[in-house]
Amino acid sequence: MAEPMKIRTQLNGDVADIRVAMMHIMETGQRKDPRTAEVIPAHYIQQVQATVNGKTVLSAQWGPAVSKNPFLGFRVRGVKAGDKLVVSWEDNKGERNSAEAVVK
Amino acid sequence: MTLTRTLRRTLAAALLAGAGLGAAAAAEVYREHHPRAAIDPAQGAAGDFSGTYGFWKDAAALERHRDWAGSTDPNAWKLNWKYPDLVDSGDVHAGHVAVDEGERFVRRAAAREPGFLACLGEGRNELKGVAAGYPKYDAKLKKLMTVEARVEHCAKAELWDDVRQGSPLNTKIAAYVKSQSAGLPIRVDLSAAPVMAAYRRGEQLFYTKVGQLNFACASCHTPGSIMGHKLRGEVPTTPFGDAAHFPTYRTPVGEVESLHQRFGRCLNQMRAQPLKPGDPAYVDLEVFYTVLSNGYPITVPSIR
Repeated sequence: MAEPMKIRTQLNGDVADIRVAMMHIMETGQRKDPRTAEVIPAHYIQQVQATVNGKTVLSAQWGPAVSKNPFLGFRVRGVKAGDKLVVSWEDNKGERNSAEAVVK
Repeated sequence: MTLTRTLRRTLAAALLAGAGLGAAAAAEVYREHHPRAAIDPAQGAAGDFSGTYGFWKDAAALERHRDWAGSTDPNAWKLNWKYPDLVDSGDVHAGHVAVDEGERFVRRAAAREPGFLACLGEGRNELKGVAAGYPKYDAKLKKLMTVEARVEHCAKAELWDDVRQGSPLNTKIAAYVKSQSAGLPIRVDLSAAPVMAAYRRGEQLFYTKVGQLNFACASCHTPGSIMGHKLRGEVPTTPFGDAAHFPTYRTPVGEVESLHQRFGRCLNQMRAQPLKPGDPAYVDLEVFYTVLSNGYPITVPSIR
């Protein structure tokens, strides 16, 4: 089961400042387990999508260079209070996670 | 042999190998000590010996020098890394997620065993303000209790569950319990004799040099030491106010860490043998550190 995400929104006029904390191990596939000397398989987020009321406002392709437990911050124009924000990701193992928040 | 020398050697052994090692074996351990700095335990955080208290004592002070935050300004260390705690920073980080997870566990456990919440809240069925008085002496258990020790004890007593100190779950629950006292000033009760004794032992440990590099905490965190100067990439800051933001999300580690885990990491860097979280020597050190934050508001969740 994917771990939870946390979203915080802040509305300034019609611009929403959105901050997302994701919990993901973000393994690069380059590290070795010091005990077994075996490569730890890559496990990282590849696709990130943010939608406001069903309309995509952000779409990103990520790779192994992004840190563990990534933080994503972005601004969206033309948003009003009460809009429904959904942020979702999919990693290289096909695991998905998404979180919802109401803009306020 | 004077009493102080006996005490010093016993404590040094406690730091080296935990309280399990007998005093007889400990007598051979030779220890050096960093010169003592003047600390008045009654003053708490306001007694800061680095002269930086005015820069980080409250949000207004931090706001005044906001441009130092995260900059290469030689004065940046004077903010004591307190600027990530500013409430209006609007930040959201894994510390918040950890607190949520701790809360979920407590709620689920309390629904199953209402005694769990009462145990954490020491009789009251809520956690607001509970953590501000920790570490404290529990007369019933005849033990010094930290928040983490209380979580471990309550999980064992009420849930028959092993939530050991230093485990991710224990740290997350402790973070939740402490977040329920966020904003309240720390009030460690030094009038209790066992707490004062622990403070004195912790103070002794603070100045005791250990490990291959022969470092004490005081080697980097007292006036006249490396404090305020470069130590590799970092500038060591004052120990005052530090206990207020633990357990904290550590970005270099990617985990939420308790104060004891942080002590362990410090000892590793000093090339000394770290102890297990919950060790009596760490509890003494935590009492000492928390008294240095007396009067300073708790800021959990936090990020460092």
